[in-house]
Amino acid sequence: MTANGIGRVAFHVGSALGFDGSGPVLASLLLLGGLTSVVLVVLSAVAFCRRRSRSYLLVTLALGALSIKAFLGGVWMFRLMPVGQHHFFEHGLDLLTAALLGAAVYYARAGSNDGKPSAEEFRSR
Amino acid sequence: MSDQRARIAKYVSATPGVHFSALVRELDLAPGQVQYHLRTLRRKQGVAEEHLYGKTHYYPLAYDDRERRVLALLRRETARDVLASLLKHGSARPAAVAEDLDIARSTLEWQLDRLVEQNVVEKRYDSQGRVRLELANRSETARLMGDVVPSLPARMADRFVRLTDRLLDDVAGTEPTDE
Repeated sequence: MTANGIGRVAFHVGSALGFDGSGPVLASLLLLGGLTSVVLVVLSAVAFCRRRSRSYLLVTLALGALSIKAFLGGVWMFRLMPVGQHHFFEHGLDLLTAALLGAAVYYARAGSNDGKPSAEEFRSR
Repeated sequence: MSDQRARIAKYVSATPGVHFSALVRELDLAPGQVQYHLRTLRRKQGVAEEHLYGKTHYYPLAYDDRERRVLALLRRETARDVLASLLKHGSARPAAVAEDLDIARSTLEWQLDRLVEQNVVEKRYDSQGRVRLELANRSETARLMGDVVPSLPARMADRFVRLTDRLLDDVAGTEPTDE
């Protein structure tokens, strides 16, 4: 890639990050991010259907929250929502995603009974 | 004995195998302070120190060398579950243990590496040359299991590994195999 090419990429990345408008780079980022996360939601939903465990459901919901973020980005791009509200929902979804993943980790131990070690009942043996 | 030193000795005695960092966190002391008191306690034969798999554990003197190593492993939730499953079923095939606990085979093997290395679990071969797992010392395992309880951070770390191992296994589509 020529120096000119690198400069152009840097400019596009910069303008996408710089929040200066609805450039084509931002639009394609949103589209790509949205499609990728929807694919992940479908994959995790398939995994949930196979395993039927709470952890898998929570991971699916977390990925769902991630894909909604891309959708919200689109809503903001077309000026369907004020930027303040957009930020509120976007970062609310960040919190939701993190909380859902945390819960998925907690329930990763099958039949977690308040974390009580199931071994205790065998102590007397 | 100073107040803080007595507190540290009491905490170690109540939670055999505790990590240095947990002492600092739970007793709300400066690391240097804990280090100083532990050094004194060790010199005065108040606590024992054990280095295992890159971590330093502290124990009351009641435990011997082997017990200290077993206790360090028993502070991990998944290792406890593996041992509990073997206590319940006696000897078992690795695939049966993984299924019983709903853990990925990779999770089980990682735990077994350490449990076998420290001679808590033995791998035996049946007449068809297949691996069977057995506890090396049932009564000792059952007794020591009651002496420690995994901390919440340790539980969450283990569950994170369980979940990601299972997810990665599912993505890779690996079926549990029996060697």
